[in-house]
Amino acid sequence: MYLLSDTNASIKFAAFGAQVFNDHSIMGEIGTCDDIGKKELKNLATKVTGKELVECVNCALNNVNYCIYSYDKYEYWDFDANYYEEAAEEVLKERSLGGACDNDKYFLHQAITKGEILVTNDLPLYYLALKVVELGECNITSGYKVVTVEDIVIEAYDQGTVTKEQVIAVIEVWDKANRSILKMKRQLFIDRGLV
Amino acid sequence: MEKLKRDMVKVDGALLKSLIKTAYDLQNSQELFGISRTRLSTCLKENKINRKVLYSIASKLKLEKSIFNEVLGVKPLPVFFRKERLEEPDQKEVEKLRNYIEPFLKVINYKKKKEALPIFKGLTPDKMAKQIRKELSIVSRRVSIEYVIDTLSVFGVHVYFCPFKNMGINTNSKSKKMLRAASIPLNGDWIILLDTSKSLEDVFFDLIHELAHIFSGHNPEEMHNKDIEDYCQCVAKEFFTPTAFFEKNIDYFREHFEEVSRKSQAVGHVDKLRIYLGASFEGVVLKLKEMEIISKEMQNYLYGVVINKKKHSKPLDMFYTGDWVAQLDEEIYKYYYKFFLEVRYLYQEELLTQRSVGKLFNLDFGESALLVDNWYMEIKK
Repeated sequence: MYLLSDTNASIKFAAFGAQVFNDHSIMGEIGTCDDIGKKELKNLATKVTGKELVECVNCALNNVNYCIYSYDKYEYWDFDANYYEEAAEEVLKERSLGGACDNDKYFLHQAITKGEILVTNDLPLYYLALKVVELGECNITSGYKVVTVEDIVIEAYDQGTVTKEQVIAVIEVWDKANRSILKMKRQLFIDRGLV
Repeated sequence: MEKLKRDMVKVDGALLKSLIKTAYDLQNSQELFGISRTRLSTCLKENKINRKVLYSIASKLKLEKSIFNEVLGVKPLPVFFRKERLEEPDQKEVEKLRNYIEPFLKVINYKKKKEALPIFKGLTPDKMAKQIRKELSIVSRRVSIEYVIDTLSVFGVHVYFCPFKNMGINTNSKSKKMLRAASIPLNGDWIILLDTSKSLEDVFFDLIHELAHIFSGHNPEEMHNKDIEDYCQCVAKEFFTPTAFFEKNIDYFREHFEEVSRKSQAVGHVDKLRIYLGASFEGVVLKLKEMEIISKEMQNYLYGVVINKKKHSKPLDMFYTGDWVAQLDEEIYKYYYKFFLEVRYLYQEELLTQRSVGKLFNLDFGESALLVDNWYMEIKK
């Protein structure tokens, strides 16, 4: 299973540690994968929470095997990204969300062509990806998943891969890193007594 | 069936054909694009083509995004660009700006404007300048750019200072084709972006030039010829250095400038006029020359002063150096950072992505990650 992680989701993703990485091959943006990116993420982790999150970041990064270029490296026009114009228009119409730029679309294109799961916590990109899949504006295999880190945590909890205590510990790390649960996913945690 | 429909896209067949013909012979289409010549000709005639074939053609032709969109019939974001010396700007720079600003424009949601924007057609430049003053309730000769910016928002005209160079635009300092300002119509409102690589006086002049376009009702979807640009330039000149004012006082000014015992005294006179009118030193000198108030010799001397002053004047870019992003909330800079404050708000409202923010602030991954991280902390507080 190839899972492509958005750099923006990295802190939350890292905090979830090895629990979800055991049976997945992770791909991510160069921001999380190459040497500069690893250093940046570690610095960020140290800056916001200290040792605890650094360990999570190390754990996550050790499981990242592949990478794609980060957005600052792919500043060129990709014809394939034009696939997603229709989805972008619909998301704007339905949700007033249009803040995904060409680089987001390029990243999305990479995620769709190279992986089976896209993890992002940037809502405009998340809804754009969902719409792209819904409209079939891409050549994806059936069952392609677009998820937030919250979705992964909930799925792991529902499947019994992680315990309630572990989830609460993860949320505490997020809290220390100034990350909160996405508003739209909060109810999932409340329903399960996780917050 | 639905999927097949999606695979066929509408194109401007004639345009695509002409683009292909500039580089290749249609006879080789099978080999080049994976489609027979007959089939390709039919597609071009019917103005629709398989998406994959289109990408293949576009890749071979190395089409720019703007041309590719033109082939697809996608209209570019309508923007008035103010250019250095009224020359056509570099298209790549124009596209970059469009590309950067588009996500912001899609999600920004302004309060309803209080008054409809008036349009005045057929006015002479001096009358248009007066009309702009009247509409903006400007009663004194000198007016601050902050007042104009605040008043314009009543009409739904939103003005932002933007360090184009910091944003990766206008990076070639030797080019004479720099973008100075951009005006973008947005659902009945207007967005004006002012480049900050010049002094405040120059940037203010750019703003009035843009307003002349807007108040004149110039169509942003049409190319602006030299006459239109010259007209807006004259309106801005009339706004800051009104001909009527100089005509009224022409004898007094002539006498004053003729009487100077030392040329340096003339600098003082120009400065007084500049301060009174709220104009630039260069603007006043140009007007004095135009009205034949100063002698040829004095003109040459004052031009020398203008060049010297320009060398030493500080561009507004100085507000975007060092750790300026950390000062976003400083009240004294609120006009200069307005655009970036709104970007932050949109990100915190989860309407913009980190990649969009990174582009607008021209930050790499690490920098933009740290930036939005600080913004998360602000939400928590």
